Amino acid sequence: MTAVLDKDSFKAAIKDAMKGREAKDASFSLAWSNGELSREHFARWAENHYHYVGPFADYLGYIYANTPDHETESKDFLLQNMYEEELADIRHTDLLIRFAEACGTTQERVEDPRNMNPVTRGLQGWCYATAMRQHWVVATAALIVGLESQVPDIYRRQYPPLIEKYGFSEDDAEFFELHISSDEVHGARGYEIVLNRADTPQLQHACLEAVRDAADMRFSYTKALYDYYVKPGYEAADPKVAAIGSV
Amino acid sequence: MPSWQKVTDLASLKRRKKCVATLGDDEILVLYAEGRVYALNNTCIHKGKKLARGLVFKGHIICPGHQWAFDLRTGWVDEWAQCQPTYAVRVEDGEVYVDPEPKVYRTKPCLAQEPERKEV
Repeated sequence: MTAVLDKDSFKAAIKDAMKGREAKDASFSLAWSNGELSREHFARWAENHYHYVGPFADYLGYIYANTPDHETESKDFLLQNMYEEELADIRHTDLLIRFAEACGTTQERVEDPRNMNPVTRGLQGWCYATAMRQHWVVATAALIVGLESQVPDIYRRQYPPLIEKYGFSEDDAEFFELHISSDEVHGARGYEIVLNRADTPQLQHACLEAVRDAADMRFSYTKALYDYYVKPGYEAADPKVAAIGSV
Repeated sequence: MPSWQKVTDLASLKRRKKCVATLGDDEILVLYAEGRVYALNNTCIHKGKKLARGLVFKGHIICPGHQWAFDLRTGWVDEWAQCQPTYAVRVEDGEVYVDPEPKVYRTKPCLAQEPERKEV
């Protein structure tokens, strides 16, 4: 990239960077939408998801601190996302724990970091490192645009089967309904920051790389949930499946 | 005919950006945003949360509960195709008046047909 892209072209390039890597298309998401999961699988999902989204205000706090004082509007947008995540009404992670309990696990198990798999641990570490070490616009591109803005599309598909196929109540599944609207707003604030403040070819290029990496990270995290918790059950049920790829 | 009710003065609304007035049985949130005055019912149609605790973002009030984004001009929320009641506003001689008759759209409103709000 040698020239600054206009906002429409830059936004199109961001969307393009996520193509083929969207977490809604990962194996765990597809199994979820197809009604193939059990409450036990959802319990494991919740025990992992907590450690990815639980520190989201921490991640944003690091970005906030790296954002210069004169970038008032961008700082306000970050703070607004943190406020809605934690304080505006019910804390979002409390809704995640409510869902987890409906799946048969406990708050203690959800909060215990030993219950996440290594890929989730990697995603959490990548989020912290990106927030702390990247330029504040690039970190916003990664975490809010690359990760968070994908959520409405994921949960628009996954919320209806929770009620219709898996038999959860709307109260149990409030976490998902909430995030269809909340992450639409949070993602829009992220786009405002990135589209307005990535104002050099170098920054735009770095943002596109960060969005691509973020989408890869989320896809890998979602796929790993399937590989760790769903696939072993299929393999145990069918030894021929277990033999595929074994050495 | 609208029965205009005084809810606040413009100078203090500009300072505080929002105020809540009770008119009859309704709590009405009066907002000063982007140079204009808007009024919506303060109780969210979704889960009854108070919009006064919400933030304004790009011409919308964001409900603190589930972040439904209501258009300040019409009360319409695109994502869920529903409508928060809004109220006509009049500013005269530094005072803000609200017509307590709510307006609710059943389908997505056409903004071109909305009366233009003057900057104050």
